[in-house]
Amino acid sequence: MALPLTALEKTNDQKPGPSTHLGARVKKYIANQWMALASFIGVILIWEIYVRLAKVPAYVLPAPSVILQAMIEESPELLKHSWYTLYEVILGFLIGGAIGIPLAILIVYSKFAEKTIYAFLVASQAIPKVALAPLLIAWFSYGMTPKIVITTLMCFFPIVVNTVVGLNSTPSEMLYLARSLGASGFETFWKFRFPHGLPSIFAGLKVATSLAVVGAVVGEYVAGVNGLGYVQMIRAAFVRTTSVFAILMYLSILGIVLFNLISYIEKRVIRWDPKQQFERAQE
Amino acid sequence: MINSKNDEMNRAATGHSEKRGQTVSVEGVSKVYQTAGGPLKAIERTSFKIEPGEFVSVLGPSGCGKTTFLMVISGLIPCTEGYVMIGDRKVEKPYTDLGFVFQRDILMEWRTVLSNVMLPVEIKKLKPVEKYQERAHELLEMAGLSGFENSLPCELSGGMRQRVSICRALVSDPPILLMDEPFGALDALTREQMNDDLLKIWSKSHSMVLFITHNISEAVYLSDKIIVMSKRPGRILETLDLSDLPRPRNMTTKEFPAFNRHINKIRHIFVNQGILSGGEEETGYVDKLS
Repeated sequence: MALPLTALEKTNDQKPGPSTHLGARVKKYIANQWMALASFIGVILIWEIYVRLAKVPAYVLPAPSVILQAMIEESPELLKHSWYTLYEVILGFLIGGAIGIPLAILIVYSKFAEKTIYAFLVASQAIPKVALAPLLIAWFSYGMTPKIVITTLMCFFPIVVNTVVGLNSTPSEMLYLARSLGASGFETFWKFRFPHGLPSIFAGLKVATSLAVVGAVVGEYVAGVNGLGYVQMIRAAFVRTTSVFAILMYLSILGIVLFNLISYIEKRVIRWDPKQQFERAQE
Repeated sequence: MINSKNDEMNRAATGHSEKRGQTVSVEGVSKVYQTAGGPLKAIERTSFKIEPGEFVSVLGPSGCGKTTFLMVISGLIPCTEGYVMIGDRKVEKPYTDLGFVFQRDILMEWRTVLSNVMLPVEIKKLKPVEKYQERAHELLEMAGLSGFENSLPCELSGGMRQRVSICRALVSDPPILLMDEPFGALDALTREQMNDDLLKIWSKSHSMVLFITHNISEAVYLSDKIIVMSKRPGRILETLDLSDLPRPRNMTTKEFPAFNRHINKIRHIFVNQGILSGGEEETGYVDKLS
């Protein structure tokens, strides 16, 4: 005996279905992002026109078209170095997550860890981590290790902080519910607190990806023999500005790809509407 | 814990008889919260009994310790004085053989509607799962939610979400259902509809319901018994017996003289307590009633 739904209750039908057709998706992307795209193209055009009209020398500011040309011409070498940088970024990011998330869990569950490790972590943010690079070289020598360590250090903090915030955001009623169902400590974590904290954890991971690239490049500046940061230093020393810009583009693309990769995973994992979740948690 | 689990398994296996479950007795319970501004007394030495299968409302002004009652009865927070017995067992830790509905629906946003309803079965490891799955489908159908089993909570309206949370509380067929202002966040029309839905579902389960509300007519419409509470620290002002309102309750119930008599009686209690002003003095509203 189904009761009829009252007219007051309408379901939210605006959920977009997954469009499988690639062309349709590109069309939709353009429809959503046309303002961003238009302003981007606008800036590039103004830049190109200015450089050409004002006859700015290429060693000061190369035109976008020239940069693009360099990106293609130098691609064999730059791609080779991209792999080094990518490797450092991904490894540093993964290690940062692998240490950061468990540490955040420890901080949330142990008052002692919160008062000691967390307090120490927050205080340690006063140290510019970039300035640690020379020390890390002294400890870990040249090679990949110091770059991975500095990347890890850069990623670590946003991951820990956002995970702690996420795990602590569970509404008290939800914890009461868990207890009144007789959930064990592990179940309370795994079925209530962790999934509820996921949106915040992903926010931390996204911030960490951009910082990871910064970490790897700084490591390569200080003690590189490989990697995009290293090549950029060399090219800058020879005033090959066009090449420096081309490398900048490679680095940007690297960062964007990683960020979007995490966003993609996030969309797959978080199918619910986190905004609604937060609004409810704050009521 | 083991006993209560066996009870649940037996119920699933055999179906249930009417008025099952155990008496809940609250004996001289006080609760004092330690706050930054010093101790805050939420409940003052209160005793009452609820019999199996009864629908009892606790009615009182905001902040009178109504929620504290539910927390103490379910063993989620300890009381400062007195004790609570469920059957012949003293409640000392969270009592798991009950359903809890909060003011906010507290649905797991990441679980589908069906999976939310099945949460207690999953956590209490009740078997056989298929039996409970069937029950979950039945409850959802009764709540007018068939077809939404695989939806996510964010796709539902507030009223629908709260229905899901009621289904969740009922899926393990608990003998006790605790409801903490479950319809407080809903608009007036949805609220009326929810009252009828609740009665319909409850009439099939025969569980004891302890229903917290500050809505007088809602309490009168739903309950067998109303416990009227004072301002903080919460004490029982009066216990009203509503057996003169026959069940099943429906639209005609609200037209009974007894229905309005009870409402007016409760208003009168609140006026005497200074919780309601009773309107402008010239009307003589208070005098007429006394």
